[in-house]
Amino acid sequence: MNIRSLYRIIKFGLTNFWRNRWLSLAATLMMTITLLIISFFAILNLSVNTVSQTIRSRLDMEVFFFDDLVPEAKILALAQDLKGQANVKDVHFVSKAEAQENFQNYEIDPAVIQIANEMNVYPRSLKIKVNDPEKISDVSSFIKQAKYSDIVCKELKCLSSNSKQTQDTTNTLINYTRFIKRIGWATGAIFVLVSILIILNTIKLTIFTRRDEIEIMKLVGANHAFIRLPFVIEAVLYGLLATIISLGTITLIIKFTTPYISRSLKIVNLDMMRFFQDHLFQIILLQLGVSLIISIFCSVISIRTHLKT
Amino acid sequence: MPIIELHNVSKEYGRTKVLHDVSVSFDKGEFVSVVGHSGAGKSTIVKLLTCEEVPTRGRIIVAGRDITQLKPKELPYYRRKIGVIFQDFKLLPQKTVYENVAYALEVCDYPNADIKKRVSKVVELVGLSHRVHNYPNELSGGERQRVAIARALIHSPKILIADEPSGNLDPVNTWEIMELLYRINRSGALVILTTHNKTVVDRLKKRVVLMKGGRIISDEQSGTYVI
Repeated sequence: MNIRSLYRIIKFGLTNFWRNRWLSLAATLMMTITLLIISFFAILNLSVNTVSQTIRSRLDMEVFFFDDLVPEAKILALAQDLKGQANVKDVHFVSKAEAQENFQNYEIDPAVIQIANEMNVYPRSLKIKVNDPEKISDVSSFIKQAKYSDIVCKELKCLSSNSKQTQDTTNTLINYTRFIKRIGWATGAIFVLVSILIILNTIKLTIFTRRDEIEIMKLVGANHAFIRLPFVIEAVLYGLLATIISLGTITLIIKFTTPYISRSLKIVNLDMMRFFQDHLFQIILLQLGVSLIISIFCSVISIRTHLKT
Repeated sequence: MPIIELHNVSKEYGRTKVLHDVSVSFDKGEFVSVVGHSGAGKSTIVKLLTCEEVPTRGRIIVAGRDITQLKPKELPYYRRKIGVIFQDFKLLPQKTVYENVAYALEVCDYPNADIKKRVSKVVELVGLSHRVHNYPNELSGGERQRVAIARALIHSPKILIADEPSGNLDPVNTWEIMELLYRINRSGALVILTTHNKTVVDRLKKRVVLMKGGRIISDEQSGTYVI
């Protein structure tokens, strides 16, 4: 195919799109709805992922050393041993001074802070970040070893009544995020499948209503590519326009819902607008990819039936 | 010398036989009227000649080539060589008169300047120069048929097949169309006209092939429509 034919095919595609504008509008809107559904679920899953990551990253462990007589060298040795553990991402030693400084940052009555300062009650601690919060109990078991009994035994005993409860809360949170993710993907997949079937049907109907034109083109001596490609270009235009419309719609939706979402999900501080901007390229790629693949695939499949007869 | 030959051509749709061993040939530059009642098999012959249908048996030779053996890829090239005028015009509704006629050349990759020159000439020939920017639904039946004729003539074909071109037209338009076909024939093209219009056939005084029940009943030079 030469440049002249290609130019004519593109021109036919654009002209047909405009001259069948009501049909084009209907197909574009169907495609827009499809993209909105797919994007909605993609954003929802990305958000749930972010929320889940945020929650999981907060599920850390902190070992306090209330006994000031425990030598710092021993604590640092424990920190070093912990770093060697597979599930331990990072271990940070919090000195008394740092603990005090951290305490000042809390919004607490200055009188309380003053008393705390006078008594110098701030304990040293090890802040342990884990790779997999589900296996946080492994780290606690490691610390309970006899080897470290002289420095942590008492504290862990004191906390043992709470540790079960903490573990339960952790597990609940983890299970909750895992459940939401699974449900999100499952419903997303169903909606996407239904949307694809709807758009396939819409494009099929669009081409079906113009089957006589295809017949005439064949009788006039047009080859299959010359008949097929303008229809494919029309379908690509549905996809491109639908991408622009759905991106605009999503931007508006996110812009107006961000304050509400931020208020509702204070715990994770999820800024949807920022999140959208950060993932804009991925969302555009997803929408363009989905719309172009669907439109080209559906138009080629639909027109093939009419070209065969 | 025959340019089209049908050898023992039969066509069946399931158990219904619409053509029975038809053998006929058409020469270069002839004007042939294929006449008969509805269901006689006239349109089936047109469909076989345009390769819309394939015969159940027999061979159809056009310009020395058996068109029943054409591969799907060869069909467009064959169709560009013959001009066909349909009773229902078969115009592209979303294209203007100019675009409908030009389309037949665009599919053959003609340069734009050439297309412009040819379309203007042929549109003038059929008397539609003032209607080039109109869409088919803005034209009368006679005008639509002229567009179809213009499109069929654009390639200057050696064979022009007119399938009941006056079927939807009033007597005045019918004669104008016949006059056009006659002029095309005088320029050297074989014109095959299928019709059931007795007045038209009788006045033409050209070769008449009479069909009935899928068979050729008579074939007369300078004949009339005898029922």
